[in-house]
Amino acid sequence: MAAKVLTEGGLNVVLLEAGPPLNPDVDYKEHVWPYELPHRGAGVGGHALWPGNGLESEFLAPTGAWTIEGEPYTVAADSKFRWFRSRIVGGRTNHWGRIALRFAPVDFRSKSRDGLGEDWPISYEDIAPYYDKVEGYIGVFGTKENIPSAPDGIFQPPPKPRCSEVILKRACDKVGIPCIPSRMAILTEALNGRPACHYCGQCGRGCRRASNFSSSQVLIPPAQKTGRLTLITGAMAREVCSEKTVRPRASPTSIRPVARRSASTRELWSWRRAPVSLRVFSSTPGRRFSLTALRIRRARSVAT
Amino acid sequence: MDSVGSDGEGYFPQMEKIPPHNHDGVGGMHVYVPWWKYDRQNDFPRGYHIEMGGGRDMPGVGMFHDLCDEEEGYGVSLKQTCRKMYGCFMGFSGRGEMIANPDSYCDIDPDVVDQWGIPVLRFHFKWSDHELKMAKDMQEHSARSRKRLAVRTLREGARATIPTESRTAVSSSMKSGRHAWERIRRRRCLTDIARRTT
Repeated sequence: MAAKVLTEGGLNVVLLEAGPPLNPDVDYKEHVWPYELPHRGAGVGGHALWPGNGLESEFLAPTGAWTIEGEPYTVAADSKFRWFRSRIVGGRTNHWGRIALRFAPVDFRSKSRDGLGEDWPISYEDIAPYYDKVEGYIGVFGTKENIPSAPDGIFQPPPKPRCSEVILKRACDKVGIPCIPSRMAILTEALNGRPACHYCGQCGRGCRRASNFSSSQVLIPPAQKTGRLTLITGAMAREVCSEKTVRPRASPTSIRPVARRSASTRELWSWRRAPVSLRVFSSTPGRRFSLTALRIRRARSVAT
Repeated sequence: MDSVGSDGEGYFPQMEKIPPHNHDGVGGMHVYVPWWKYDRQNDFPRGYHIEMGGGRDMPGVGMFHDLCDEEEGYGVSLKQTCRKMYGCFMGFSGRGEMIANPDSYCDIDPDVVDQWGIPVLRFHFKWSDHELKMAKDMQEHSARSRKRLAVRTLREGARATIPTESRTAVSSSMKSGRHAWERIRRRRCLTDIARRTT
């Protein structure tokens, strides 16, 4: 999202992606049936049916994993934790369940209500216009319900409930449990050149037509169209260097990505001296760093 | 931080009588229970929503694998069982708010580096009573609902054992509404994230 907004605003942006580029036509297999695969997708002797043997790749959007070779993380002795990471352009926006809900006013003031956690320094009213903007651009379906804990947004019409969902809804209505159309980032009407969903129900495997939202298919293409985006794939950000930490020469901030394939590093330097326009984006998956007005200063090899 | 979660699954015999048809829809639920219980007296703070999914849709690899393991028979009768049960499973997933606590954070591991020599993250994590009580409430609510709907409970469990930084991938595979048997198998296969406590 930042790459889109910044490039459209006239800035030059470099986007680093640790994984490969994404080609939906090749990488997504949402319409492949089991019987179209050798051994019905189960592998010789059914081995792919068992954990970790490859079934995931055929039936999920690509390149996300609980473990990544060469890139470990650790868990403290008394803790249990698992970390899902994605290494592909668009990161985990390629995989997510597309449920797109707003925080409610009450969520910004939780500590005032129950004394736990912290209140946000901003309110729902501050952020609501941006929700509007995002929903209008990425496309979210839903209905206006006036439920305080689930604020309404800019919605496309929702799909009709399935018959199983009609049964559930009736049961909920009977006992007074609220049950409303869901709110998901999937198009039910064409938007910005993206066609409406054709209801194959396979969002978890990717969508070649970009009817559901992912940053790889919805945000990066318009950024590329500006001509101001440099997308470098296969590049792991190694460190953020600042004046204090690196060069004797009074330098602006730079970042040093590692090219995965060649295991070499190069530094991306901002032209400007401090205050440096460095932005570190970590809210979306993958590690992205964008420097304004930057150039590749030099490349060098390192033994790692 | 993680979200609090509990998943339950039910078999809906009333669906058996519905003629086979295409459960056309988006990849996931069309209806859900919006954020609730936040505005009443509970033994846990905040609230949660309930995602629902299931029914007949495009079969995936291994869809009937577990069904064939669990049901008796072969040939025509087994196929009939598969057809009868296909689409009769619905899952309920509560998803709620975790309260940040000082025992849950990450820092840089002092000893481990990755293949490029970059220091790696080390995670510390602990659920508090708030989360465990909320998960319990989700389970009780889900059990009551299934009782009211006269459905057979297949499994019920909270993900209170192994927290994860993200559920995105797991959720999308669950919510793509595949046959419950396949979902159960896939959960084992994909994640192992929550060895469900009964």
